[in-house]
Amino acid sequence: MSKWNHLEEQLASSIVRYVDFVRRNAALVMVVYLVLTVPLAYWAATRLSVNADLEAMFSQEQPQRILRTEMYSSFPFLKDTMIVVVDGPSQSVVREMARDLAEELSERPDLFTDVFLPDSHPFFRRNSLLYLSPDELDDMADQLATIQPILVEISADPSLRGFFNLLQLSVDKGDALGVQSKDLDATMGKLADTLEASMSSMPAPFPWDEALSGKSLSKLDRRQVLFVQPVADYTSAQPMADSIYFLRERAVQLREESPQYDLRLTGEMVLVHDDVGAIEREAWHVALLSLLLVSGVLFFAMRSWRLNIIILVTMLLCLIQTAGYAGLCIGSLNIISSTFPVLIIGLAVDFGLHFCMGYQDKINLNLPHNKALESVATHIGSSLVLCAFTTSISFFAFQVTDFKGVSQLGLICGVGMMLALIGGLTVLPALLTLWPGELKPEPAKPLHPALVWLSGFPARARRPVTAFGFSLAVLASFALPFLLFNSNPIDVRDPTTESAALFSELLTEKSEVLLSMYFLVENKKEADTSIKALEKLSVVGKAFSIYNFVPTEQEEKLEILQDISDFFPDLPPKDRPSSREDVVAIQDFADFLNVRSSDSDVARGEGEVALSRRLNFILGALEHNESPGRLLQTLRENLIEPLAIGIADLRELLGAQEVTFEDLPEGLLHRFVGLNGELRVVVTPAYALDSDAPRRRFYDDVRKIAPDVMGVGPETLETGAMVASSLRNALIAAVIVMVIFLTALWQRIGDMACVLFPLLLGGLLTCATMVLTGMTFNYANVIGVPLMLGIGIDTGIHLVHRSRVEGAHGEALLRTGTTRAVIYSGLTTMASFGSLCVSTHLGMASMGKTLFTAILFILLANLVILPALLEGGLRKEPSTE
Amino acid sequence: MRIFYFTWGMLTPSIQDGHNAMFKVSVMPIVPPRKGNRRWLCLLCASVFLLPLGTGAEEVADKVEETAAVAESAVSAEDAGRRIDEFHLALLEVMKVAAALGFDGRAKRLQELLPAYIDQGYMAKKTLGRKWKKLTAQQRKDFLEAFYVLNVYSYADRFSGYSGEKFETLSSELDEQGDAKVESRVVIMDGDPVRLLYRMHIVDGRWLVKDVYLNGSVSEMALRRSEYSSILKAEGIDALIVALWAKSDAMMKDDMADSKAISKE
Repeated sequence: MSKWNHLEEQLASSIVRYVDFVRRNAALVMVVYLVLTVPLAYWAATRLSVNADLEAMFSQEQPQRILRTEMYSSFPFLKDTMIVVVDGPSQSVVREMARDLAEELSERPDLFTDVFLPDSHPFFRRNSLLYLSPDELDDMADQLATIQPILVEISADPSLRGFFNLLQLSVDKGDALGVQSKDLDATMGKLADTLEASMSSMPAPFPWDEALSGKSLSKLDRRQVLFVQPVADYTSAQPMADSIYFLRERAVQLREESPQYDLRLTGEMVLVHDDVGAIEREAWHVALLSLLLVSGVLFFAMRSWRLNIIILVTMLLCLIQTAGYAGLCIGSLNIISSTFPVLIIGLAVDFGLHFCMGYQDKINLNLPHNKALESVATHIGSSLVLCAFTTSISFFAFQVTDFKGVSQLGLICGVGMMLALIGGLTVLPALLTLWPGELKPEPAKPLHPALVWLSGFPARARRPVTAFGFSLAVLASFALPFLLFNSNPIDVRDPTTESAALFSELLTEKSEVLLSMYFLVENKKEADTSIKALEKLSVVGKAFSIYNFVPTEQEEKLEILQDISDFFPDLPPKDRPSSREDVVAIQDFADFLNVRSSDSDVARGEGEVALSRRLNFILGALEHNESPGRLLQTLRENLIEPLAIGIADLRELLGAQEVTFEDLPEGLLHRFVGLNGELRVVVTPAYALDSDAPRRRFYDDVRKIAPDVMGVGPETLETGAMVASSLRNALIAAVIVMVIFLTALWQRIGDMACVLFPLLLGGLLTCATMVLTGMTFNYANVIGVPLMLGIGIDTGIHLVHRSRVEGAHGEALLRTGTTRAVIYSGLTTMASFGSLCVSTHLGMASMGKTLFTAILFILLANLVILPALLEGGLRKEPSTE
Repeated sequence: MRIFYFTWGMLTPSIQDGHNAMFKVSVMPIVPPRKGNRRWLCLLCASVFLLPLGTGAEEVADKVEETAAVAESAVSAEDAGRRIDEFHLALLEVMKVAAALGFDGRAKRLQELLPAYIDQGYMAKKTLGRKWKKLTAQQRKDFLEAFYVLNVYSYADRFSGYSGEKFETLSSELDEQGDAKVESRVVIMDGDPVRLLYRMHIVDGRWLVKDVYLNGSVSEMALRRSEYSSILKAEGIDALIVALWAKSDAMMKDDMADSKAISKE
């Protein structure tokens, strides 16, 4: 004891007195403790909430955030926009669906404040052709000229009769008409599919657009996109739940009615919604798995259910108290700080293990309960206090950062550490006393000779080991500059959720839309000047303000549209055929195909064969079916209606009139003109922004012309930089505080260095491993940093403390109960985080991987390097004291 | 946000040349154009048939004086109908003496007749669409020449005889943009009547035809545009001009061969 300095001695004796007090009044202490826990539990249950808004993680004083807040105040309709994507095989049907949906949504102001469907807005339905270039319009005119005869015929007789007559003509006189027989056969193949679906009353609209344009439309061509602003309630973890459920229900309905069609949602807030959902869902699996694994390790460590349960109960009580504190003092957690239980569990179990294993060791030495507790309090107690203080101080050091995600987590865990200490020194001895019966001593098994040799190795080979440690640290530090912070929030999402999958899809297909930037200007002149300057930049694809929505070269374009309209004389519509006439037309065509099939000179394609067979089925069904009307109706719905929609659309488009600024629709205006008359200028990139480097270049170049440019890209860049620098500062601050604290307490720089260096080495090795395996830090696994720090410090303190108490026994250190406790504590943490790796949620999984690696390296560094350091010069003087 | 999400399958602006699906319609078979001999063909045709080829504009300018008087009353749909009646009558006259005139003679008569009723200059430009603007003055002149000749020859080819056909004008009306639509039909002795729908506009006070819809539905302008644009895109304007000349050439030769055959009989 003489080696201890005064302060630590006093500390140890007060802990012994306190633990003894708890032992003597175990029941009373437990009751008081539980009574004090009740209000905390109540606060935890009632006042704790998660704010899913990612913004809650960041200080709002960053330049990009200030810009954005200002922008939202004049453009309220841009805030929290959801993107609703409708996909399906037929463009016209998709368009119709999107229109219906838009109409339905705008009738629900309780759920949606704004609905904007640019493609199908009446303004664009009428005028969208004016946004094509004259050359594109001219090409379109050529194409329409080519299909003019068919369009005129079918629009005069939009019926099954008209359709099959025309098809027959094409097959029969195709050569003379210049019809490509290959294309015609493909068309017939598609028609066979449509007929087959119709037989089972399935909606399967015939892809007219493709048949007529001769070009297969890409998925993007057929897609419709709605921009929807939901009503949000930020007090909830899922602020837009109602609106999202509403849309999801529609999606389910749609998929049931038309299996080939799909409605999907994404957007920042939908991502958060799904993320919270995924975390809640996954958290249960992961929590259960980690509880199981942790219990398993605990049991393996102590082989006693009693101790096992006592540790878990203590941990649970600490958790409740910490949650209560968080509920009382913070209330609304952000996504990162909401992971505090993970840290508390890890560290509280750590405390429990050290205490209980120490206790078990003493019992195994045949000490009675009271003596065993006293001895544990003497040897472990003060190191627990040290650990708790150092760790919570380093957690508090995170307060200095702008990254609220981590600073809030630091605050909660700093306090949680203190609560864990109180719980550890109170509940553990109390429960150990109250538990009926005595813990039976088990004689300690001798260590395996190989382990004995191994445990002595670091101390024996201290020079090579120390040198090895230092060179590893130097080597690993070279990797540091390559360690990146991935600021792309999508990379921490669960990619199996619809919104994340769709978002990634949009990012690859349409990154220029999602990652365009914008800025505000006062007036048109300013807008025009900057647009002109921007369009000279190689990084800029397009720059536009509201004024660019007034089409250019209108006179010429309208003339082309007029020319196209002239192709189509208004024919008097033919009388609608009776069902009988429709059937006759189908019969005629089927007969015609049958005759062809018996003619050996005719080369028939696969499509024709399939169609012929299908037609005969259909005719059979029409003949024998009790309600042929329904089948005919399905056929009309699948074949004729999509065409009718398409023709109506075409007529509307061709009827475009001159557009002036006053004609622009409100939905567009309030996206480009602010409430106070500001103009929003949008800049799109000229190339795909698939990683940080091109995003940075785009941002930097545009910023030269528009200093106040904002957007998702700059924001994530800024956030990434902020988070990275925050972490760096916090880590430096934490380490400095820890160094000062430990040096002041121990008054020996060598001991402090023994704690610090393994931690540093473990950290560096983790970073190097991450670089080598291509991992990056992200919003999720950054929480590993404080935890790494906490556990790293604890491990070092326990080992150094043990060595201080028992003298400089480098070789013996690794054979002590403390080392076992350190190993098992590391294993429990690895087990609990290892279980995160199985999560499909990328953020959670990356957190699991990072922490697993970190704890492993820190544990190894502490077990290998620390004894060598202690044995070395750093620990020479105490015996002389 | 980008507003240009618009897509329109049916109207997909870009087509793949020569790969129009289902219903690519190309009514007039086109002689594969031979490159490089355009001048030679022009000379040949011009010298052999001595066709006085003027531009539409000149023709019209010449007539301005005589039409000025009727300009006042020319905006009514009835007037458009009357113009079509006149045109049909003139065609009938040519048909009745078709055999005597021969291809050459018919072409010469029609050469004078057509510009008075058909706005050939307008049609020629419109069949090329915007591509017209990108032609040089010489290319325009060459194209117009080839177009006019082909137009005249087509009529000469089509109206090559008379077997009791009758033209009837059924109705005429004005549409929103002021064009007149004149509905008429050709009554044939043995067969269903053929509907002909004319779209007309006023040029310098005169109603001129700007498009004819065969069967009342198939636009001749659309047919030509479809045919020309695919050649123009694939091979360029010179090839198109060669193709037009080749077609005129073929029509004339066919007709000569036919009439030789007839006279031998």
